[in-house]
Amino acid sequence: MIGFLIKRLVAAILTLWAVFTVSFCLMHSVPGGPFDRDQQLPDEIRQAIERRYALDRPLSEQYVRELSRTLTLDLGPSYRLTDYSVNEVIAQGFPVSAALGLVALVLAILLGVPAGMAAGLRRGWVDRLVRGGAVLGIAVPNFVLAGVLILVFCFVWPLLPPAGWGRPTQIVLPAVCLALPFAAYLARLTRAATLETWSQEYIRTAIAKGLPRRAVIWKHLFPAAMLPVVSFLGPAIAGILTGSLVVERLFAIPGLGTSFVNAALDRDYTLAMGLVLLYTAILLIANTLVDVAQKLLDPRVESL
Amino acid sequence: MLFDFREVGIRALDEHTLELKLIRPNPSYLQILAHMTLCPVNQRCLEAHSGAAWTQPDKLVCNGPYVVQERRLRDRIRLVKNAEYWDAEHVSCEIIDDLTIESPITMLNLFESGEVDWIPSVPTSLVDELANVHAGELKVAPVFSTYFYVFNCSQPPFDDPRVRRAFCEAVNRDVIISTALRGGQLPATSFVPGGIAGYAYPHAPPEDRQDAAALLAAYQAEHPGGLDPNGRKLSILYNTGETHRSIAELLQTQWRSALGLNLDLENREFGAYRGAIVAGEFDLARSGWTGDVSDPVAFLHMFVSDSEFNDARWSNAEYDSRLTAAATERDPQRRLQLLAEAEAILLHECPIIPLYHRMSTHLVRPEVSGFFTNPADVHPLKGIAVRR
Repeated sequence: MIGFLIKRLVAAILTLWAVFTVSFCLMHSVPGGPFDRDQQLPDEIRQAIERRYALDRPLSEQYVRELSRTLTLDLGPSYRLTDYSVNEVIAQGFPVSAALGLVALVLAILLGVPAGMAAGLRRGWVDRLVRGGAVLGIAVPNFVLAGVLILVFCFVWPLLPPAGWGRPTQIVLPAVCLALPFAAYLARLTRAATLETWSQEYIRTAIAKGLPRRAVIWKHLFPAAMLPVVSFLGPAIAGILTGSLVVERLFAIPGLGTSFVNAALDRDYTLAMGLVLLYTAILLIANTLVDVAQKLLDPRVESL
Repeated sequence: MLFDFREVGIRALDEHTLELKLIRPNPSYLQILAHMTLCPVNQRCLEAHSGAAWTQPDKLVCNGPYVVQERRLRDRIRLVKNAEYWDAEHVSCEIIDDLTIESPITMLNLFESGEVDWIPSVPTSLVDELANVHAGELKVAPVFSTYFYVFNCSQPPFDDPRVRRAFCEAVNRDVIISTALRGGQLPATSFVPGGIAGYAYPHAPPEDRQDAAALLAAYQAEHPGGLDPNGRKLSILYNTGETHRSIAELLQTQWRSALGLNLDLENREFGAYRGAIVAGEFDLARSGWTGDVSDPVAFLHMFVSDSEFNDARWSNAEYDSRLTAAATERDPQRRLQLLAEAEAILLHECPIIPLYHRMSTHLVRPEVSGFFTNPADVHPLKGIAVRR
C-alpha cells in the first residue's frame, strides 16, 4: 500500500509538471495578451506592466521563473484581478465550489445508486421509471432545469431564494441542479452493473446454497456492482468540486467555475495555470482514492 | 514634455483648498472634476502598502459617504456608513451590499423575489413586459452612449469613402433595434447622443439602397475585384456576446441583400478582438463609446488624426482643424457650431456607422428614494434612502 502511494505521488508530480508545461505553451501561443484593453496603452506603460510581470523576458526564462515559483506553492498575482493573488482567488472560491459540490455529490449518490439498484433488481415498472428518469436527467441541460426549479420553488411556491450564497436555503436549488444529471448517470451505471453482477455464477451459487436474498444483495452483489460507479466517481468528483460555470452564473454563486472560464478569456495566465493545476491535483487525488476503494470492494483487484 | 511640475496650474493653497488654473475656459471642466478618475487617493495609504494591496478593505482609506467593509470576488462588496464623512448626518443607509451578479435573469429573479431593492439593468427582451408589470419601478432613460461600427480606413476597400458610405446607406437601424435589441433603444442618426442643448445635430446618411448600390458600382468599375482584396472575403469583427452576434448577423444579411456582398463573420473574445483592432488587422468591427462628460467633444475627440482611440485610422484635416478651433473658442454658441460642423464631416466621410444609443433600464423598489435617471447613468449612493 505504502509503495503504491509513493509510486502514485511520483506519477502525480510528473503529471502536474507535464500539465504545467503544456498549459504554459498553449497559453503563450494564442493571440491576445492579458493587458489588451479598450484603450491602446502607450508603449512605455505597456512595457512597464510587462516588466512588472516579467512578460518582457524570453519565454524560456518566464517558464523557469514561473515553474520555480509554483514549486513553492505560490501561484503568483492574477494578471486581470489586479489586487488579488491566485492563491487568494482559490482560497475564496474553492471552499464555496467544494461545499456546493460535496452536497451535490452526496445528493447524487443517495439518489442515483439506490434508484439504479432498485431498477436492476426489480425490473418492471420500477425499471422503466428509473430509466425514463435517467434519460430525462441526462438530456435536460442544467440551465433549463435551473429555470424550472426557480419558477416552481421561488415564484409558484415561494419556499427558497432564487440565488445567492451564505444561507443554508441558498444551497438547495443549485445543489439539486448539479446533482440531478450526476444522479442520472449513476442510476444508469448502477443498473447496468447490478444486472451484470446478478447473472454471475458466484451470485447463483450464493442463492443456491440458500443465503437469504438480502444477504446476497448486500454482501455479494453490492460491492461488485459498485465497481464501475466508483471508477466513474473519480473524474466526477474533480469536476463537481471545482465548480460549474452555468450553475454558478444562474445562482450567483462565488465559486471557481466562473474563474476557470474568465481566466481563459482574459488571458489571465497565472490564474488559468493555478486553476488547471488545482483541477489536475484534485483529479489525481480522486483517482488514487478510487483505486484504493476498488481494492477494498473487490478482492480480485491486484494487491496494491 | 513637462520638465517642471510648477508649470502645471494646480496648487494646494492650504489643507482644504486646491487651486486649478486653466489655460482657457472649458465648459466641461466641472464635470471632469467630478469624474471618478479624479477621486482623491490617500497618499500615505498608497505608499505604505506595496503593489495593489492598498485597495484591500482593511487598508483602503475612503473619504466618501461609505467605506468598504468586505469584498468577496464575484459575491459582494459590503459598504458601511463612514462616520468620519463630512456630511454623515445626511447619509441614510447604514449598510449597502453591492452584489456581483453576471446573469441579467438572475438579477431579475432576485428583484422579483424581494431579495434586492435595486437592479441596474433588466434583460432587454423583457423591457416592454416589465414596463407593464412594474410600472413606476422600471426606470428607462437614454444614456450618453453610442453603439457603432468602425471601418479600417487604412486599407482597401474601406479607404474609399464611397464604399463606406454605401455600407452605411444599406443599414436599416430600426430592424436591428426591433430584432436584436428590443429595449426601446434609439436609432443613432448621429455619433454624438442626443440631449445637448444648442447643438445642431448633423445626420448620418439615411438608408438609401439604390444610392448605396450605385456608389458601390462606381467603385467596382474603377477597382475590379477591389471588394475582395487579395482574393479574400471582407469580414465583420465582433467580440463574444449575444447582442453583438445578432447585430453582426443582421448587418451581414442587410449588406448581402442591398449590396450583393457576402461578408464573413469573425467572432473573437475581447482580448483577441481588441488585439486585432489595435494591430489594424480587420475590415470593419463593432464598437461602442460612452461619454465621460455631456459634451460633443467626449465623442468627437475619438477620431482626431492622432487620437489613441481612432480605431478607424481615419484622418481628415478639416475635421481636426474644427476641433482645434473649438478647443480655443470662447463663445459657447460658436464652439458648438464648430463641433457640429466637425461631426457633419465625420458623418459625411463615414469612418463609422452609428447604430443606436443605449438606454439604461433600472428596476428600483418604491421604498427606495433618491434615485434619479441621468444620461451619465451615475447614481451616487449618498442620496439613496430606503423606507422599510
